[in-house]
Amino acid sequence: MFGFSSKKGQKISSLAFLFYRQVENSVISLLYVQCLHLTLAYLLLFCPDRMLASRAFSLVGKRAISTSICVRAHGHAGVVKAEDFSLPAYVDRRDVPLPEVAFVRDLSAQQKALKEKEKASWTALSVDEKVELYRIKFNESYAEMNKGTNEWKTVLGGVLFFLGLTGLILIWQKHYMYGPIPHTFSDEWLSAQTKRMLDMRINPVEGISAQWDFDKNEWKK
Amino acid sequence: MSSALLPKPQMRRLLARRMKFHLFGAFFVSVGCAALYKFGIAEPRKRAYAEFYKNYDPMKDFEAMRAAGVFESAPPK
Repeated sequence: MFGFSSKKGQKISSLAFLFYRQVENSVISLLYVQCLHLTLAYLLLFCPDRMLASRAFSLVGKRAISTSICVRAHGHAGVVKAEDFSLPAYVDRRDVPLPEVAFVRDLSAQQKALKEKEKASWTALSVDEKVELYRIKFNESYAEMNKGTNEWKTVLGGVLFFLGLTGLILIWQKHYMYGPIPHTFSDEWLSAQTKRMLDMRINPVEGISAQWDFDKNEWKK
Repeated sequence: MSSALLPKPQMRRLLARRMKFHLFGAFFVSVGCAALYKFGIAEPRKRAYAEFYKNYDPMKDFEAMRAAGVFESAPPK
């Protein structure tokens, strides 16, 4: 598996043996040497270029580079701390009845004692203790989760307020900004226009000409 | 919490109940809308057209329009 049967593998293993032989210090543990062996084997398998580099540097500062390679390969001291957002999280949702973690992460001494008591028969627990256990596990009950708020009043109030503000702005615009409207909106023009529409019998079935009494010359009652 | 147990809530057939309610509701709402339109808008319109054309004389209408002076190619007499 580590390739020691191959020619290249045999060269590497003999080199590692040479390193060990060169080290005079008796503090060097067997674990360190094993780490070195395995590291070199892994590197042979996965990073051939690094192997050549380490072989070149090995005679100069093998201990330092070996340590770093060792740490890199095994990752004991170099593990990145898992961020909170990447761990399973608690969530209050109607469609998630049992969240991945309990709500309370760090229990107080009292709560820890209660958790111990929970391991025994549950009939021994009082109602308050049961409620406390529930609150440790969950933040809001379904009733609390589904409870409505008064947010709609705020939303409606905000909407109406801004509508009113917009209306004020429009009034200011009409008064101070816009020019006069076209002359075709004057009363004389509109009455002449309506008379012409009636003469042409516009919309005689259901529309304007149906509302006019042509015999009496007035609007129908 | 009180010592008396709460009544056990409905556990099963929740979707079936909701579907039945909404199926009936959707059917009656849509049929109701169609009926309202038919008898509120469509039928009165049909009646108005029938009334208009019952005693309609196009020539009399034309002469009235001509007298008002709206035609370019048919001036008033």
